[in-house]
Formats: sequence, C-alpha cells, structure tokens
Amino acid sequence: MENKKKKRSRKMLLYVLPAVLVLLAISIYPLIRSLILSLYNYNLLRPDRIRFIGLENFGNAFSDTNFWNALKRTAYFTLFGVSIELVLGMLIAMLLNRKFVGKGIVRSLMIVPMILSPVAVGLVWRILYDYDAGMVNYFLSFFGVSQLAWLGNQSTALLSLIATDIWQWTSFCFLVCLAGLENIPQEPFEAARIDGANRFQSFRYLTLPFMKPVLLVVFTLRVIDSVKMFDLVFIMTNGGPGRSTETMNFFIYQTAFKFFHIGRASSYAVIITILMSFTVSLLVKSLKKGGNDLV
Amino acid sequence: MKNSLVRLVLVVVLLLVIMNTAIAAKKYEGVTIKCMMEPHPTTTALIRLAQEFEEETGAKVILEEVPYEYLPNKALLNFVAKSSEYDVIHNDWLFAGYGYATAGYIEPLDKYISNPALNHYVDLADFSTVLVDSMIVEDQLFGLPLYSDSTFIMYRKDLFEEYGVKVPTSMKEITEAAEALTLDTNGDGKIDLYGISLRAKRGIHMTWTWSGFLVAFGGRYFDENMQPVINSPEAIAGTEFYVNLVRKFCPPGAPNYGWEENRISFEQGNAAFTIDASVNAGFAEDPQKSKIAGKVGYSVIPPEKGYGINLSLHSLFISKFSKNKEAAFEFISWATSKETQLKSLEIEPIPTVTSMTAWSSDIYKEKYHVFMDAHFESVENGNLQYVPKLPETSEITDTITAYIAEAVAGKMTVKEALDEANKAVYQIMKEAGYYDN
Amino acid sequence: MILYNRTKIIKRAIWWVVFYTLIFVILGYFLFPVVWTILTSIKTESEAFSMPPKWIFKPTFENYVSIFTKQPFLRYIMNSVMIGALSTLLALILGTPAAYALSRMKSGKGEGISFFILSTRIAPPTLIILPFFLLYRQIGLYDRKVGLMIVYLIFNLPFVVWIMKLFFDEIPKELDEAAMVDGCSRMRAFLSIILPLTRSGLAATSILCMISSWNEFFFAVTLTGDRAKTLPVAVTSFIQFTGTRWGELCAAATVIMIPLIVFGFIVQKNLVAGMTFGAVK
Repeated sequence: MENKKKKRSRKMLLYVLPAVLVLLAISIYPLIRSLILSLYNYNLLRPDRIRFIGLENFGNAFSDTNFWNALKRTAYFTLFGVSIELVLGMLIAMLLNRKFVGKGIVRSLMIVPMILSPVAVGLVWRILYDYDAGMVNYFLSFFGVSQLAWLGNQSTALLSLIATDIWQWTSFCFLVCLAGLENIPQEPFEAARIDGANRFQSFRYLTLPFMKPVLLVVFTLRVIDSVKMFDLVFIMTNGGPGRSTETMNFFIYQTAFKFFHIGRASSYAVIITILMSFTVSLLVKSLKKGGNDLV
Repeated sequence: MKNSLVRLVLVVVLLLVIMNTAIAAKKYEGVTIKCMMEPHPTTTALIRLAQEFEEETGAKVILEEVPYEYLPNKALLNFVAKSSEYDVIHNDWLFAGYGYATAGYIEPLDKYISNPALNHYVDLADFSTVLVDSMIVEDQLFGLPLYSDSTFIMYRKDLFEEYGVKVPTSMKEITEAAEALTLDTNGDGKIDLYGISLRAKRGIHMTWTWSGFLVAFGGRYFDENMQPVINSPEAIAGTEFYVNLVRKFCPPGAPNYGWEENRISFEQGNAAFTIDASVNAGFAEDPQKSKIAGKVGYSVIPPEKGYGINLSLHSLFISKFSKNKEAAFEFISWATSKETQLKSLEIEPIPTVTSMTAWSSDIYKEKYHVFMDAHFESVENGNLQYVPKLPETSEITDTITAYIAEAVAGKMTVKEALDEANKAVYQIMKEAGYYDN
Repeated sequence: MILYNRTKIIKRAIWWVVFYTLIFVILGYFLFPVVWTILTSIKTESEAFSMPPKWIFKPTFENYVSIFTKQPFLRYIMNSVMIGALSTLLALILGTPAAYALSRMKSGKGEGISFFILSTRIAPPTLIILPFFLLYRQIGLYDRKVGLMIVYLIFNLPFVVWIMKLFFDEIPKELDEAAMVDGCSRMRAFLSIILPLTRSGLAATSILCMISSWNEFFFAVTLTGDRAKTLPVAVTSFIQFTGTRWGELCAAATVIMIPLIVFGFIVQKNLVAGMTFGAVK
C-alpha cells in the first residue's frame, strides 16, 4: 500500500514536469543574464565604459530617494487599487450570481474593459480626464462638483490613474469571482436556511470560507500585475506632473531606455522581483492557514 | 557567303542584346533596404513614393513604422546586438542621433557623399547650413535632414482685436498680453479664456517650451568647463518667466500638456495664444479639423537677451552594422532630395520639409503661405542646440523638468528648484565620467 | 390571502427594478469609455473633441477604410489571432495537468513548485527584455510568431496553473478514487470525468489568457518587426509624433475589441453554474 502511494505521488510529478521544464527553459537564461547585467555599469550609449562594479548598483539604489519614492507610490497604487477592485468585483459577482434574463449578455459585456487594449485605455482615459474636452468633468458638472485638472494636478494624478486601473481590472476580479461563486455547492446553504440562518450569516460562515482561496488567488495575481503596471503611466502622464505618478516599473523603464543605464535598471528590477517574491510567498502561505488542504 | 553573313549579323545582334540586358540590370537588384521609421507624414509620403526608387535601382525598400516613444529603445537594442536587420534609422538628431554617433552605432557619410558613383541624389547646399553643421561630429557628417520644426507664436487675431491687445514684440509684452487675455468672458465668475497655452508636461515636452525661454534670457546648461549652470541668474530669470506664465495664465491642465494636448487646447479656443512648434500651424489652418482656421496670426518669438527659438531636427542615419550601406546611402539621399521632398509635400501635410528648394516652391506657398514667413524667419534665428549635445541629454532634461514641475505646482520656488536641479545634473555628469580629469 | 400575494408580487417587482437599474448603472460605468471609442471612430476629428459632446452627427466609415488600406491590418489581425490562440492552447495543455497534480499532491510537496511557477510572472518585463532580445536575434526567433508564443507562456502558464488549481480543489479527491476504482487509469479519469467538471474554470482561464496575449505590448514591440507585428503595436502607429489620429485609432481599437468579445461570448456559454452538484451525488 505504501508503495502504491509512493508510485502515485511520483506519477503526479510527471503531470507537473512538462510545465515546469518549459518554464525553466524559457526563463532561466534571461534571468541569469540580467542578474549578471545588474553587476555592471552598463550604459547603452557608452559601450566603451562598461565596467564590473559588483553590488554598487544595488547600494546606489538604496540611497536613491527617487527609488524609494517610486516604491512608495507603487505600494500605494497597488494596495489601494487592488483592494477596491477585489471588493467591487466580488460585490458585482454576488449581484449577478442568480438566474436572470440577459445574464449571458451582461456577463460578456462586463469583461469588455479588460478587453480594450491597454494603450487604447490609456489614450481614451487621457482624453476623458482632460480639463476642457473631457467627459469626466462634463459629467461632474451635472452634479455641481467642481471640475479639476485630474492629470494636471500633482495631488490628483495618481488617484486618477488608480481610478482608471480599477475601471479596467474590476472585470477580471468579477469574472473569476463569479466562476468561483457558481461552483459553490448549494446544499450547505439550504441546510443553513432550514436551520434559520439569515442571509448575512450564510454569507459570513459559508460563502466567505468557500471563496477564500479564490479571493486570495485573485488578490495575488492582481497584486503581481499591478506592480508591473506600466502602460497607464507611460501613455497618460509620463511620470508627471513632477514625479507624482512615477511608479516602479515606469522608473525602471526610464532608467533603462530613456537614460540608457541598463545595468542600474536591472538592479532595480532585481530588487523589486525579490521583494515581490517575498510578498507573494507570504500570500501563498496564508492560503494554507486554517488547516484545510486547499493548497 | 550569304550564310556566314547571316551568322555574323545574328552574333552581332546577340551581343547587342546581351550588352543591353547587362546595362539594364539594375544597380541594386536583389538588395533589400530595411528602414526603422517614425510614424510621421514624411514616412507616409515615402511609403507611397518608394516605388520610384525601387524601379530605378532594383532595390526593395521596406519602411517599418515603430511607435515614436519606442523607437530609440528598439534602435538601441538592435545596435547592441550588432544586428544587420535594419539599414536605416529615422530619428531625432539631438535626443538620439547624436548619442548613436558618439557610441559608434551609425555610419559617417562623408565617403559616400564624395563618391561619384553614389552621390547622384545628394545636394548638401539644398539644406540650411545650420542643420547640416549640427550633424557633424569630429569633422564627420552623420545624417541627412528629413524634417525640421521651428517654434513661433500663434495667436487669435479675432480675440486680440476684440480686447485691444497688440501682438507681443518683447517678452514683457508676452506676459502683459497673457494677463490681459485671461478673462471671464461670460460673467459667471469663472475664468473661461486663458491668455496663453503652453506645454508643461515633464520630459521632452516641457524641455521644448521652457528651453526657449532659458536661452532667450541668456541662460545655458553648462559653462566652458562643462559645469552645470542651470541656477545662474539668467537661467532663473528665464525659468521664472516661464513658470509665471504657466501658473497664472495657462489652462489648468497645462502641467500635463504634451504636444498634442497643447495643440488641441488652442484649437478648441481655450487660450488666446500659444508658443509651440510650427507644425501646429498646418493643423490649425485645416478647416476640416480646426475650429479656428483662418482666425490665426503668426509671429516670431521676440528675443530678450537673444533669440530663444528652438529648432528640431529629424534625420535619416545608416546603421554601422548594415550589410547594404551603399544602397542605404543612395536611399536616404533620394528620400531627402529636393525632388522627393517636393513630391512628398504634394501628398502629405509637411510644412517642415528641410529642402530649401521645396520652401520656395509654388506648392509650399499655396499650402502654407499664411505662416510661411513666420516659419522662415524663425528658422533663420533658430537655435538647434536647445538641449546639451551629450548622450546624457535625455536624463539631464528629464531631471531638470521634474524639478521645474515642482515649482509649477508651487511646492518650491524657482530658485530652489533650479538649485536642486543643478546638483542633480552635476551628479549625472560626474557619474558619466566628465569630471574624471 | 390575496393581499399577501400582492405585497409579495410588488416586493419582487421592486426588487427586479432595482436590480436592473443597478445593472444599467454598472454597465454604464464600465462601458462608456468603450462607447466613446466606438462613437469617435465614426466621427470626424473636429467633431470628436467638441464640447459639449455631439450626440447627433453623421456617421462616417472613412476611418475604417483608412486603417485597412494604409497598412496590412489584416495580416496583423491574423498574427494576433494565431499567437493568441496557440499560446493559450499551449498554456492550457501544459498547465491543466500540472494544476491537477498540484491539487492532488500532499500539501508541502507542491508548494515549492507552485511558487516557482508563479514567480516567473513576477519579474518586470524590463528585467528580461534585453536578454530575450539578444537571445532571439542569435537563434533567429526575432520577428517570428513562434518567438512571441514562447514568451507569452511565461505569463499564461502561471495563470492557468493557479486558476485551474482552484477549480480542481473544489472537486473532492474521492471522486478520483471512485472513477479509478472502475478500472480507469488516472489519466482516463482525469480526461473524461474530472476535467469536464471544470468547464467554468477552463472557460475563464482561456478568456484571460487570450486577452493577455492579445493585448500584450512591450515584448511584442521589441521582438517583432513587420512580419509578426501584432495588433497592439499596430494601434500605436496611429500615435504619430505630429499627433494622434484619433478617428483611425478608435476604429482600430474597435476592430481589435470585437473578436475578443465574440470569443468571450462563445466561451462563456460554458460557464454553467453548479456543475459539481450532480457529480458529487
């Protein structure tokens, strides 16, 4: 019996092997090469001045206020944005998790924001936020709310980007949450209702625990993607006004391709990758909490 | 006897035919020239006209449009990989081309220009000397000019007349005009007309507009020892002038205005005048697209301590790793030749051609007579070196404009911002090794 | 009794009214920029930016004509379709069994592997773009569709594994045992019984992979030239240095959207609720 179990678990590994091998093959060379790059003082426009400098790039990063500020802004952008996306997506999923006429169409329409090309999203929202010709201010004028230069003001620029991000990615949270909700077995709810539990109680003690893995996975995936966000800043504000929307990935890109310091940029990217790996591993560990073998 | 005569004739005819085909075999038959191009009307025109070059020389020309922001990125990656994929690169000389030249990524053109077998299309005298000279690095020419912009004042003749404001002829008058035209025109307590519209988006956009004022007030980036002097009294004066205009008399969205937002803002009638690239005029005068067509006047930016008129230059370069350099050279000289530029002018809106013959052509006059004079005068007094001629220019201008943006937002005084900027620029230069001796 | 019924009916009616109003508001919020894009694509440029917005205008299709004639747009569409479909398929084929295995493994063993798979998605593209570019140039994968397909696996595979794992976790292990007791090999059981139960997951995942491949920009612009160019890159050619051609850009964006919406609609018909209900019984 023991043997059979061992055999089975080894066979399971075979299922995983192709995926792992492929990923390893694709990613290992670039990763190593860029790690090496981060140890050099490499400026793309000065190929004559390449020198090995060890960990100096990393040291400089830690003492660079621009680096830390970019990190802070990214943390703010990600936490704020992803939390709202998740809550909104879940709420909408709960609303739509019932039979109704037009469900298929509504569902297809709900995922449209995700489908619009990020470049198009950035451009369109840039116009929408425009002080004079933009629809946002136009709508707000109906409610008597004062119109602002959303992207022209240091205090509102980052918030405006977050709002666009929420607009685009709530659909993602919605899509996965709805699929998750639809897969929750129904009997526990009927049993609970018979026992007299009200809606809020069955939500808290039945829905939420069932949805916990889904919510955590969605949260993790969104956090990973949100930290990598680039197109919105690039298209809408170019890091400005001032530096108010200079998030990490944009900062790295500028350093590498606008200022051509590719060695330094690689070191920034390495730092953020390590930080993110650490964060994600914490999130993954919390999936295991509660003792259920859902991981 | 007759037989051998016939045979002789046949042989002669055969020889003639063979000779003819040999001559008719085109010069670059079988050669493909691949070009990395900016998305721009000049490119659109070249795509349509390239057939002519192909027919004449037998070469195949592929013009690939790369998104403008990514072009230097892509070009550099190809250079670093020493790739022969692209033979020709189209880019901005100041922000990119110069860096390519000093890094040894693009080919010096002198030996092709002096080669009679290849210089069929070249006529350097057809270009303004300002443009050609700026592309000479260590006595070698690195590119051929394709299009070039100047900056000037575009103003609403109707509004100036209505409010009795005269066209500014000095910097002081610019501020006065801007102030006089920032008004609440319908009496609802909110300002709905702004005096002037300017770009203030950090990076290349603010650099284009602000540096004009920097130079006009006598400021510059570096002194003779390459030490940054961005916080000199002249620089502070010019920057304060600019920041003052943006804070007090520009539409509220100005801190995020790039080229396009500024143009649209002016075309929608948000501001009474603007200072920006001459290419805007082509758009403003297009009755199909612009609300203000026919209402716009054009004038040269007045000097202060000197003229602060910026010129941009976009050229064609040959990659050092190209395997078809001669064919590539003939192509770029054809593309920038007077004939081609004239034809391009006919089919696409290109007031920014670099061929002086094209400037004096009838077509140019017909299409652009409204602002022609202002444009030519601006070019004459224009300054191509509105940014430092260094590979680090991108980083330097981005850093400086980030600090100026803080001043625009009111978080720092102009002096504080420029002091900080100066320190940062010094750091950049130091790390790049300019002070090592 | 009649009174009781009537209140109930009224209550339900009000509930449905509120429900549909909410849906209307929500859809309105999410769709108005898209509607703006579509409207702009059939307007001329000066009409596009006039304030207050022009709702009544004469539609023109010149933008659509223009995008198909000025560049080989059809080719770009084909490229995007092929790259998207094949990389999604590849990710599904490689990732679904992996997700299943990770779901069935004793906890602890699978953790490291799951994490490794996820970690490939974490690195910012700027970190790996230069090595990839150099590598592709050396091995001749530059400007080839296959090249992009391979790169997209880095994003899509982790997606598939992590989301499908969620769905496999919902299916109790006893079901596997039950299927195998009847003499099926595990593979048979997996393919014919377990997998079909995860239809919602497969549908959701394939939509997401397709979308992310379809819209990916950074690698596409760097690793392709004119042959393998994809739609997101083609759209940006309307952003010229001298100005964005908004009409054409919106037309292109609209054209790009439609296949995905159709794809999404077809696929999500498989998202049927409560699939596990019958099976467990």
